[in-house]
Formats: sequence, structure tokens, C-alpha cells
Amino acid sequence: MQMNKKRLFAFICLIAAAIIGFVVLYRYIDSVPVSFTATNIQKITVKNADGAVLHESSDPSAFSVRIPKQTTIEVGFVGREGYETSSRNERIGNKPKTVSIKPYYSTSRLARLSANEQGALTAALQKAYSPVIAQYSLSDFKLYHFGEWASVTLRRADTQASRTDSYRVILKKESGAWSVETSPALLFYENSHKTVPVDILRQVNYS
Amino acid sequence: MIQRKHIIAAVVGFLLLCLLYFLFVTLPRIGKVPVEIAMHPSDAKVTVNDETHSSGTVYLKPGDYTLIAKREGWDDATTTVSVKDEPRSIALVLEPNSQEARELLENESVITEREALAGIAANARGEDIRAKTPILSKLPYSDIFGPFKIDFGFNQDDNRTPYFIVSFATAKGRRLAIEWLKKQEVDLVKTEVIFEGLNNPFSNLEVSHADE
Repeated sequence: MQMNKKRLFAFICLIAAAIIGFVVLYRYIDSVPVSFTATNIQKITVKNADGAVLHESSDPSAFSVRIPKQTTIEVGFVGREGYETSSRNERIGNKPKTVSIKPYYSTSRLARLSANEQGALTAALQKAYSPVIAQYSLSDFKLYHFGEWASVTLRRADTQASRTDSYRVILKKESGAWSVETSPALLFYENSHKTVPVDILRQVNYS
Repeated sequence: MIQRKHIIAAVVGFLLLCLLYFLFVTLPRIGKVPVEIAMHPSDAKVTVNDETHSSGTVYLKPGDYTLIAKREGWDDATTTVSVKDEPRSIALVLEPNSQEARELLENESVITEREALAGIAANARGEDIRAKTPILSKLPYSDIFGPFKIDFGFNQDDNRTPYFIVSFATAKGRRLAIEWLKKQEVDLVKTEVIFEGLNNPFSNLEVSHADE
């Protein structure tokens, strides 16, 4: 009788170990290694769709985390001085992936730079849309990313601001010179402006 | 005594089978939603998330997926679906590009089957559009203080991508229409807005480049 109890106990232990082992193995198989490379980052936090922290590190440059397949993760980061603090979502499929985090310049740094670029941006627009541009006042000079993208708002100068359309135009700096990337419009769409990063289109449309 | 041992062995065996079923069938489906995929031709293969499946039920975690159905002699059929927390059906109907495939379509039962699948596909498409753009149920919308009116249409290329039409609007109305669309959480980067009556003075201008 005592022997049977021992056997039963061993059997239950074996089954429990098998279940735990299988669950651990399954969780491993159902995840993929995701490598992260980070530059100009003070702190990085990787969360799953439920908000649970999967990884957190200060002063990271490169690290790897196993993440469940077919999930979306949120990568939040705090940039070094002069770089943005932001977050972005990454979709994880069934294959290993490398996520590169390179924060853009911070809003305050871009605002400082934009003050120096207003003259060059105005000159580029005057050159591109002369003489029509003379009827418009230029405002809301904004820079994006590393200061190589800009947007400007154009409004009829001879009409009350509330009665005129606000056209936005996006410019790009290449080899030190600004050039018009999109024709002035009320809104910009990713399908018709494929050369402009979507996050910039979104910021311009929602500003 | 021998009989008792047999009963115990049978019970333990049954429990082990249940356990194996749980480990190999139920466990991998936890957190996933059953998605029934029907295709014509039924022996086509569909690729989801880099994995190839036949017609039948696949289990997917909630999210957006692009499904590509392939079969020799038929054009690929592609659809994008949103999987939420509820089971759903997806139908893919491939178009023939070979004589053999075209001959198959002369059969009346095949035509009926394809029409049924096309109906399921259209319903699924409608559900996806309504889920992704709930604002459509509020349109047309008019605001006499703008003034503006907003309605919608569907892109002719895929017949599933909506766009908005803003009409009867002044400059102020257009601005208020954009604000109203933003409040409805419309993605104004993905969804085009056509402003009827807007004469954009820059649209037909040729841009002079600085280095010219």
C-alpha cells in the first residue's frame, strides 16, 4: 500500500513536471528573439500590448529580448540631451527581427534651429512659387526629424485669417539647400506623398 | 485484482490523452481567435504571417493580417483583415488565368459556390470598413454654421477604401470640416478628403527650383 502511494506521488510529480516543462518550452517556441540597437538613448522600455514591461534598461546600446510571436510591442525611450522622448509600436511576426531606435531631435532643439532657417525657407518658397507667393503670408515654420524636413503655413495676406484657407507646404533640405517636396495643400496623404515620412505628414495635418 | 489494475490503467491512459490534447491542441490556441478561411478553388493555399495553410480554421492572435491565396492556373487573391476578439469567416475567390480553370467555371454548382463565397467576402469587407471607419454611419453630416457638408465614397481601385467629400464649404467651413473629422478620430493621413469647390492656386503651378 505504502509502495503504491509512493508510485502515485511520483507519477503526479512526473505529470506536473511534464506540464510545467511543456508550458515553458511552448512559451519559448512561441516567441522570437528581437534585437534592439539604440543610439542617443538614456532609457528604453519595451512593453507588451497589455502594458506589462518586458524589458527596461538605462543607457542601452544593444540588447535582445524574446517576445511572443504575432504581437505588437510598445518601445518607449528617453533621448539624451537634445533628442526626443517618444514611443513607437512595433509588430512582431513569426521571424526574428531587429529594431533600431534612433531618436530625432527634441522639439526645443528643432524650434531653435527653425529660427535660423526661416530666411532660407522663405527664399526657397519665393523662388518656387513666384509671383503667387507674394499674395501669401508665411507662418508656422517648423522643422522635423534632424532638421532636414520643414513645413510652412501659407495664408492669403489680403484676407482676414478666419476667412482664408491655410495651405501647408513641406520642404526638404538636401546638400544644404531647401527645396519644395509637396505642393501646398490643406492636407497630405501617405498614398500621394510617398517620399515624405508618414510621421511628418501626420504632424503637419494635425498641427 | 487484475481487473482493477486494468481499470486504473485505462483511467490513467484516458487522463494522459486528455493532458496531451490540452498540451498540443488547446494550449497553442490560448489567446488566439478561430478564423475560418474558405477559398475557391478549395485546394488553393493561403499565406498568413509567412505560414501557409489550406482552407479551414486557423488560429490567429488579434491584429491586422494580409492573406494571399495562391493556386496554379489562377490569379493570386489578396485581402487584408482585422482580427478582433471574436471568431470570423474570411472568403477568398481566385480568378482564373488558364483555360483549364476557365472551363471549371462553366459548371453551375461551381458558379453558385463562388457566388456564396463572394457574398461572405463582401460581408467581411463591409464589417472591416465599418469597424475601421465608424464615422461612416454618421455621414452625410451637415453643419450650417460652417457651412460645410461631409459625405463619403469608396476608392474605385479596391472598392473598400473610403474617402470623404467636403462640399458647400467656405474657407472657414473647410477648416471646421477638417476639425470635425479630427474629432471623429479619422486618420487624415490614410483617408483622403476631397474639397469640392476649392480652387488651390498652387495646384497647377510649375515649381521653379533654386538651381534652375
